[in-house]
Amino acid sequence: MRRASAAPVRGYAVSSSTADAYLEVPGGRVPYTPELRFLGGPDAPIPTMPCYRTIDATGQDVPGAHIPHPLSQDLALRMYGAMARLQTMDTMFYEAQRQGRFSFYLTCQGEEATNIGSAAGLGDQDMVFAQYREQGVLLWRGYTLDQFANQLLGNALEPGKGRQMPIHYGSPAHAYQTISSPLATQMPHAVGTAYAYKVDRLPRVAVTYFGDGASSEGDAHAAFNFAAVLGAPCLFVCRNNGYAISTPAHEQYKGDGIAGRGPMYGIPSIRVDGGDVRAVYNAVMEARRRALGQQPQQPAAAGQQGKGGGLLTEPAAAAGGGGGGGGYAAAAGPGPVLIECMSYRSGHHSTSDDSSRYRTSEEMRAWRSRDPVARFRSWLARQGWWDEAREAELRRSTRQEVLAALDRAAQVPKPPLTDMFTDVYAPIAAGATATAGATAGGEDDGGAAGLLPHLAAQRAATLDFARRHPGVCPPDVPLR
Amino acid sequence: MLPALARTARHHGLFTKAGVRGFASQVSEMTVRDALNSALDEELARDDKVYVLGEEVGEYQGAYKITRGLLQKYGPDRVKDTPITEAGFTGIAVGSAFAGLRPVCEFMTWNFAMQAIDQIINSAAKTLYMSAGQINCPIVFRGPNGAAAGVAAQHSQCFAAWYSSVPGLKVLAPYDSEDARGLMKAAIRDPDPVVFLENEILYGQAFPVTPQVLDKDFVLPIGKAKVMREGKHVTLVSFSKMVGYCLKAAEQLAKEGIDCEVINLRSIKPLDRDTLLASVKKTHKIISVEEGWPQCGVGSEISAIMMELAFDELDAPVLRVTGAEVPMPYAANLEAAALPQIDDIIKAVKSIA
Repeated sequence: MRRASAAPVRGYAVSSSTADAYLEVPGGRVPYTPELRFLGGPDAPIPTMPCYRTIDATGQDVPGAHIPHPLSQDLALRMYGAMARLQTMDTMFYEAQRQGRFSFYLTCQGEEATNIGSAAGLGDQDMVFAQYREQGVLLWRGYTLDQFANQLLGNALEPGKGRQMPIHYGSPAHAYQTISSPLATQMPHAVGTAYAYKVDRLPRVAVTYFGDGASSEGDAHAAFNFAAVLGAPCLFVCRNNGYAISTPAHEQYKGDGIAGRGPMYGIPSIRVDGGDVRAVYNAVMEARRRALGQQPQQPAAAGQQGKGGGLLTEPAAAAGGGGGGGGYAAAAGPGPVLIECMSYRSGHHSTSDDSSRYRTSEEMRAWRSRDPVARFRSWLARQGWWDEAREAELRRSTRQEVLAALDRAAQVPKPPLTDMFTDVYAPIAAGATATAGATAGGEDDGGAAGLLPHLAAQRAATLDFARRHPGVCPPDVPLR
Repeated sequence: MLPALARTARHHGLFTKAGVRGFASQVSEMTVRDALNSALDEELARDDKVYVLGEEVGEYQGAYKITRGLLQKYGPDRVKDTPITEAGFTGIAVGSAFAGLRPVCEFMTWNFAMQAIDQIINSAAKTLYMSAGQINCPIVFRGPNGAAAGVAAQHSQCFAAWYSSVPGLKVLAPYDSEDARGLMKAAIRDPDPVVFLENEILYGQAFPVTPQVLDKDFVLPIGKAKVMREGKHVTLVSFSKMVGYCLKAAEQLAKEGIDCEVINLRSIKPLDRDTLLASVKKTHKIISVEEGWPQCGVGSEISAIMMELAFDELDAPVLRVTGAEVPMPYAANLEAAALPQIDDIIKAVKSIA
């Protein structure tokens, strides 16, 4: 038997280059090895992917951190302002739900840095396919407290016409796709939209957020695999916050989290400290460039925050050892990128959950002390960019604004009863012939214009019933 | 002439449409397969937002050859072979429709679409409503539906009833080549998600088509049924392959003096109540025929409509001829026993005629 004399491939001995050293199959080129060895599992564990971090737990710069996108004072203050507003807004909306002002809420406590850091790294037109714990992304993009409050109360100003549960925001103006409840279905959507951007040659990525639990769904696997096959410019941002309602992450998966799966799909992947807003921001900025097929950013010159050494860019062809085998290399050009943000869900899953039933108060206390907002505040203070007076004022004014927004939203009536029948189908334009028998205007009150006949008939019957039985319709719901 | 037609054209000097003369009476034949293929071809040419995706649609020319030639003509950006994940490629197609493309998403059969049914219903059907009119999903889901021949339970289910109950979906079921062309074009041009239920047995069947049907802008209205055969004694209403069975039953019954009106629904949602009610006003008897299972089938909906809106017109109860309430057996004799046959339709008519 020929002795193995080439460099090992992932720890396996391989033959030196000969005509017979490789297996050529439709999936690619695979080097042979004479070793019987299993990779992964307790006998041969794959090393855990480390976690990129630039600011430590006490708010100090990590020496030698790679920071290709340093934070200006302006940007840092904007980020901190958003994180603090987010935290205060969450607390107050949560309390408002407990007081019965609306039916449901969930906070992103513990994940403020993930939300804001990632949002700050995206383009304004990058379509966001969120899961449900990403209200900070909307806030960053300019969604107002009034808009949040209107959606939570489902009133007539809410562009969603009161059709969805609270926290199911959606806003095309902010490139934020309407939240959909079934988990992980948004992941293939994001890939499809990214594919559309690629076909239309738009300089945009699609971004999808999902939790550690949602990554178990079949749709997640399909999205990862497909995005790589299509070369779709899609960012996968996993919020690994340790829990899926009561299921801890160590019961959700047995492999190396979610970032560990990415390379095996052909997706460049990174694990990030989700409590470090600067790290998240840098990772997303770089991920976006890679997704669009652009060159990675070179690090800032020495002397700026963190001394940047060479960026950890591994050209695709060099990944994986061995003689010229190519390995599991992601292709060059547009394609998906995976970012796993490690953090902790400090709050309950939602207002329908009491997490003290499945985790200890010691654990929760320990994580509260690692609050990402406090950590960044501490870093800002070290730069001389923030102080307690400004902190107090920001919190006070945010509390007032949230209360005022809730009060204003409560005064607005609910959407009218007749709105129930619109948007089941696209409206029929006057004169359109595609669908038979559609009413193109001219109904009893004009409001049924554009409805298919069976819906127009149901609308008329409902209105008629409501008029004849005035007590049936709640007083804050107008008829039309 | 269209390439597809050139392959299949045969002129029938005998067959002329009543009242049509000259060139317009020049009827040729086209299989349903070629009708679908030509419709897809023309729509891909008309609008570059339209694209086709699914398993085997490209290099393999389509599992049932419906997409034959399209990859060669339009390239891999417009005709995409996908990995094997219905949930995946359906979700991706839906996401691309949200972003403004117009996908035609093929399921190898509608049975496998159950692995994607959440994306079809929770995402495609409901998003326009849940987003209050802000996010459209102009997508067509298509593939063979219902029983084929000897493919057993997991390849033979009819999904017309399930999808037709969902608000936000339009559900179409072509019978002949005219239906296939006109409804496919209507579906692709429609801004709403459309479930397009084909039939494998019909793919190879040739039907007459007029030059009007072959026009590249031939579009049939969604929500309108077609009276295939006028009659005055009893109404037979059906869709897809069973329309052919009803026509054959009507032919035989005519010899015994029973005159059947045969209605081809074409559109299961929206359902053309007006055509059905007009027919029952004339015949006072109606029988629904479908391959699918009886409980909560399309016939159940028709029965309810007749009872609610035509009670005083009925001279007999509404009858339903349906498939047997079993998962489809494999053996040919059992399969035949599990599906409506022409004799079953005849027997049903005679029981109330």
